[in-house]
Amino acid sequence: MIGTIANILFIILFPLFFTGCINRTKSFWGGRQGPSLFQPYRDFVKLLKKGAVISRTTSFIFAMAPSVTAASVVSAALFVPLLGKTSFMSFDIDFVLFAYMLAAGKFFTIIGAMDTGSSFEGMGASREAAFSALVEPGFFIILGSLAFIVNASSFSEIMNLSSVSPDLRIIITVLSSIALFIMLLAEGCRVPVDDPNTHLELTMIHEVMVLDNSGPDLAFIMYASALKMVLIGSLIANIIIPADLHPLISAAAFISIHLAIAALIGTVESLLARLRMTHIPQFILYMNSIAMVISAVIVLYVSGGLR
Amino acid sequence: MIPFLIILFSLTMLYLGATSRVEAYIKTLALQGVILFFIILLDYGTENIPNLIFLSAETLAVKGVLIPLVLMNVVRKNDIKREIEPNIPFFFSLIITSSILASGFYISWLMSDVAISAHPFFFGVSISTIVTGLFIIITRKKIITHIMGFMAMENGIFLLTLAIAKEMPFIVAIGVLLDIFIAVYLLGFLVNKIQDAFAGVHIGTLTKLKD
Repeated sequence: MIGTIANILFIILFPLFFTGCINRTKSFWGGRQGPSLFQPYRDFVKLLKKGAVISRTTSFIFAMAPSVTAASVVSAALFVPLLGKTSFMSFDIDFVLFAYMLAAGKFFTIIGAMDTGSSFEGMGASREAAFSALVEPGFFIILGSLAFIVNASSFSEIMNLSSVSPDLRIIITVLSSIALFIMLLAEGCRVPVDDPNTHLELTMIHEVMVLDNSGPDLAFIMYASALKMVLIGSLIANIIIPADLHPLISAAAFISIHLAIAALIGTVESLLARLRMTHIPQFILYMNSIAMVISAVIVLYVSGGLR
Repeated sequence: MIPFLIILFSLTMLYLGATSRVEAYIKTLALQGVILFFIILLDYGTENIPNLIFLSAETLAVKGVLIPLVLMNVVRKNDIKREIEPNIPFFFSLIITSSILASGFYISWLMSDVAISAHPFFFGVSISTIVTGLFIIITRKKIITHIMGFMAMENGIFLLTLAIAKEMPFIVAIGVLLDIFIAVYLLGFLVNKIQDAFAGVHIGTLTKLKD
């Protein structure tokens, strides 16, 4: 019961704090004092109070898209084990539903962007679709291999790696953290895949798709993209944290891993330049290659008698 | 811990397969040297302490420090441009490197049935490293990257000898050391000379050589 309430509060409150931490890290590297950690909350409330301007060329899809996106990301959050490794619901092969909930949200963002009739937004939509298609195989290979080794198929069982031998466990932890971090950068549209601060349409991916949104819609989009990053970060945290910890310690470790990820994203964003558009597919392909290595290692351990 | 280090080594090869900077190549080779050093330390056993000390010190000093410094020096002195310019796009380069690595893992899967003392990862990763080194030599256009592909191949051979011959004879270690050192030294000089003669280290210019 307490766990459920804590998880609800986590889903509602933490994502915007996560964004605040990223911004604070960036201002630290930039030598500025930076905005408060709670600035995203203020922005969120400010946007909710505003009215939305909707272009006359758009149809009902454009008005609907941001809310549907936010709703689908929130429903994807129901399957992921969060604080204390408890999730709201869990059933067989729920990670597929998780991936397709995120994809459904993305689909509505894309058709919402196409609905405006702006050529720039269509370009951004095409890029977003192309890059997220590259991310998906890697995600499924990783989750499938983990499901294979723990011989289970729901998220909360897959993330319990305590039956795996230490040799294999360290390989899995390090490799899947790297791969999922690349996925986080690609899906969350951070540097080096996309720069959230840029305002030149030709180089944008995600930001260009939401140029026409304003008011509460923009608030929902902000929240949804932050929550998406937190969810993928939760996968990393779940793989790192051992299952047999006390719930409180586990929750503390969970939050601190998230803060570390936020600091890492901010650091990457400050120290690296955005990749050229032609180099992004190969960056994302690294994730698939690493996923391939994970699955090869797991198959070797299980069928080659190395367990 | 050793399987983890070998997998890390295979990831560095994956990185070499598709990165576009010359300096990133050199840093990755240095990292490979350090990883090999740790593999020797953990794997070699304690029955032959002087040999262990020599081998690990040699690996760390030569592969991890000296050769990267020499290569970095060559790059800086000759104003070699940072881009690698492969013959095929990086995207396909990465796909091919990944498939070489995958076939390496298939080889280790075949090896894992045979009862041997070494870890099967040694074979798979070292053979795929050798082939990837060859692939880098084939597809890159600059002479300096050919040296680096050769270095990566040498690292793979080193890993293979570690797997097969647990007690690598002293003389073999010295031979490997000398081999690498002379190769890098000679090729370094060669690059300098070519730079003097042609003002641009690029194999495209070498095809136009005349009397």
